[in-house]
Amino acid sequence: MPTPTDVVTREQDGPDTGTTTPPSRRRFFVLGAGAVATLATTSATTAQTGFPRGKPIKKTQPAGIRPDPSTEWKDPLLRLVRRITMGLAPAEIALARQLGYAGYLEYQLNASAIDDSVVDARIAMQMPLLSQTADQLRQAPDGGEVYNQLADMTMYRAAFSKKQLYERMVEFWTDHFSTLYDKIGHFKVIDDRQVIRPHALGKFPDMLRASANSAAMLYYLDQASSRKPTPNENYAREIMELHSLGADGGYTQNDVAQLARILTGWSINYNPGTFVFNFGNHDTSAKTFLGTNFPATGTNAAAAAAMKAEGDTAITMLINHPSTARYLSLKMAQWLLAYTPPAAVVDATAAVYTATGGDIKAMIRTILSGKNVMASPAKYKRPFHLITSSVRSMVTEVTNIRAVRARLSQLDMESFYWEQPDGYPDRVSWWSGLVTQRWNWATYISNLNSATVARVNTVASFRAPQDNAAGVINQINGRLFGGEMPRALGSALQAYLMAATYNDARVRETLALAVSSQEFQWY
Amino acid sequence: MHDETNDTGCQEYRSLARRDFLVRGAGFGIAAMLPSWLPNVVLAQSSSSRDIIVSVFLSGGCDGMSLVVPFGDPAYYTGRPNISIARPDAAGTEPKAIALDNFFGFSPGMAPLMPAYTAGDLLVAHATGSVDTSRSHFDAQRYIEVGKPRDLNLATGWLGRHLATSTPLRSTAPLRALGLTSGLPTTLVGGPKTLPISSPSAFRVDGSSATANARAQFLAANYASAVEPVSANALDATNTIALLQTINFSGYTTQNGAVYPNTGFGNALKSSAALIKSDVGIEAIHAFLGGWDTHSAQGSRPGIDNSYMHNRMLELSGALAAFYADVMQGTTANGVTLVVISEFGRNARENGDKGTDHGRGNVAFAMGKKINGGRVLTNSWPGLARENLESGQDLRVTLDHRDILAEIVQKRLGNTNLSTIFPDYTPQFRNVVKA
Repeated sequence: MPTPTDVVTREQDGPDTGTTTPPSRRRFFVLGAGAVATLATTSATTAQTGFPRGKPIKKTQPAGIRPDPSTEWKDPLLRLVRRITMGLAPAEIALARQLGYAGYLEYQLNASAIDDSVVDARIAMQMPLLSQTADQLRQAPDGGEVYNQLADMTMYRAAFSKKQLYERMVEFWTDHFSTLYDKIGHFKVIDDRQVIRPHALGKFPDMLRASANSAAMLYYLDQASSRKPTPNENYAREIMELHSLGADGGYTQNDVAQLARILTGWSINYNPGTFVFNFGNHDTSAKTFLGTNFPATGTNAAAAAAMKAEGDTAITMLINHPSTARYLSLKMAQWLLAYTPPAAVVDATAAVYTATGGDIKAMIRTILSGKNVMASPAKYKRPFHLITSSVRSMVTEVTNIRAVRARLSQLDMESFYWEQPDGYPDRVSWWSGLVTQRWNWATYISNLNSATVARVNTVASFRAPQDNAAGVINQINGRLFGGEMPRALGSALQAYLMAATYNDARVRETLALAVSSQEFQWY
Repeated sequence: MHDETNDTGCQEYRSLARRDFLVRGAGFGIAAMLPSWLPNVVLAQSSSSRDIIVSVFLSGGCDGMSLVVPFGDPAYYTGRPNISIARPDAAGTEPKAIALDNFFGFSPGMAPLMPAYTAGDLLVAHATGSVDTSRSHFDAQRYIEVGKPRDLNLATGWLGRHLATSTPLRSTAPLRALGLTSGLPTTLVGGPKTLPISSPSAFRVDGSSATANARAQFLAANYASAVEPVSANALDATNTIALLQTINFSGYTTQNGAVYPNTGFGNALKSSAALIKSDVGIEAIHAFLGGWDTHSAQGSRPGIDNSYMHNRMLELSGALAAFYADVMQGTTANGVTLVVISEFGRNARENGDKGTDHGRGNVAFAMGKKINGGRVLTNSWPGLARENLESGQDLRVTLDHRDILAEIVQKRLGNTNLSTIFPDYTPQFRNVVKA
């Protein structure tokens, strides 16, 4: 188990002063643009650009001189807290300091031992529909209330659960096994309860099998209606491409067709939304999937178990496939560590997957070694993460999370509403253009002072122990940046705060600027 | 024209944006905007004869054979007993295809586009697509968006690289391109002064108007040191606030009686029209229309399976027809070309769910006054008989979709840097654009 003692200082990616720019291009710039005043000699930066899936982007550009915010992040413990939580918060930092790097990581990995009863009780009280059965939910007069409670719960737990790494992984798996609420409705409540949350830090094979039995998934990807002789290929393709092997995982179009045949009959009872195998819809003739023969089965009810078992065998083949080990390891490392994780980290994690039978905790331990965490550049917060991180660092009282959560729609990231089955993107270029939406969020949260929604208590949280400009800046540094706020940002914030009469409105505007600052957009 | 009622503080923002961003931006010069990954290119020069491009992506893998029916191919009917559209000359009262020539016809759901087609301004291309055979939504879409098949490393999009290798249509334009999307589509990545703006009429910065100026100054300085694209995004967004507040989206009046469907896509094209007609230097717009992943009960025939896909087609064709009447037959400073593509077509034969699974060859459209339209362009129809299908199931791709895009980029957008925009591709023009 790596500890902070094996931390190495992150190497700069090499000096670049633009001297590698080809002279011809340089000349072109001057000639071509006509009105060029200044030549950009250092336009390359160290920004991670992110990548949706597959192989990491090769580094083809020399790194620039403009550093990403992680160059200020010297403390390994704070880097770990940024990596495995939904945002820095004073109590979280204190706990991490008490437990140390390895101890805090183990504490978060062992989520089932964490007492979260306060949050659980709140959920039970404010989101009661979520403890109903599928049949009750189906009959509930909806009007959007089932969705609202599910989305509220998701945001509330992400922001306030003590099981922070667990919530990070719930978010990850929700995208990995993404479904569209608009199509599946209350089935998602059951999917969250029976697929995502029980296995988020468990064994991947269990989660894949649970997902393959989930009404939400089988309905969303049309498996529920697939039957011989012309099966529906939708789920057969995506369980390989998105859920296990990855697009380059070594299967062919014929394998998609064969797996679709193997899975014919895997369906659901729409009421109440449980898995069922309809042997009458199953294609009983022989198949060959990923080079393995599946001989013809009997055609009557007596052979139903053998028919159904073909699908179980095929899924086990996916689980044991080296492409699955590699693809999951890459995706998890991209989520937890860096958009382009080192190949050695991915390989090591894949080896752990294989050795442990897909133990997600063991894979995370490998990914999050102190050495790896210190070497990883910053990642850009998706809107959900921006919201939770500002709430965690600023909000001390929440009466009802709904209004806060509903801001996700203005940030174009409503939970369970990504249309395609690949989940919300995790790359900078997709999100970074939503600048004004982010700044407006910052203004909203900083001015939140409502007895019925939530409160940023500036007097208690920012204007104490010192009720003056320097004191407020100090508190912003501690609460929002864990004490690692860049000096220039602190000076600029303080200058802004002092440029007008010191009062609560000015303090809140300064808070909004801190949340809006480019440094706060990264973790 | 400008509604002052719901955007307090805009005046400050407008003035501050000019003062603090435009001026500073000008100091950087155009070259500073050029990304370092660009190889040597010759900047396309600004010209009033250059078209604005609107790019529409039908995500999900649109069943092109339901949009434009190959009624002249008997295998179309044998493979699709439950979802095919009847021949134009079929007996009976069922809905029929509308003949485009003696082989292809529009589905009833595409009927609103007939005026553009008969006027010769709408080109239909069939059996088009990517030379890559992926039937993965995400890979296929990605390769089309980046403009190069099977390249997992290329991060920028073809339209982004077009923008990066052409001088702005208007040198002072704060925004050159936008995605009417919830995030920046890959097609536009790499484009200077390019943002995702899902709702142009709601683009603003909140907070007290009294401090708007000071806050914007703070953020300008703060984001100047950010990595790209974060820094440029902030600069562009701030400048764009003022721009969009000068445009009256809610009170926009169409020309020629055009009525846009009141849907997300209809409103996106309506916003596009407002942006284009306000002549503020926007030169590329990208929009998505989803809902085409029709694995089951696709309902391409009116009245069957809730007319699901029929209604999708009506939304598409209704919006495009309104855009045609309003913009292409209306008054604009620059010409406008619109293209429509999807990541792939769907199987030649229907599945057991009265739907279709992921396929290959597909339909594509190009529309504009300079488009050589009024015809269905094929590179010899490959046929739907089983022996002619790719992998025994799909319409083959006989026309690289880049043939259509590249010709438009060179002849209508005035950019000859095709080897940068479509790397490793040999341009093959097919008279997509009028001589």
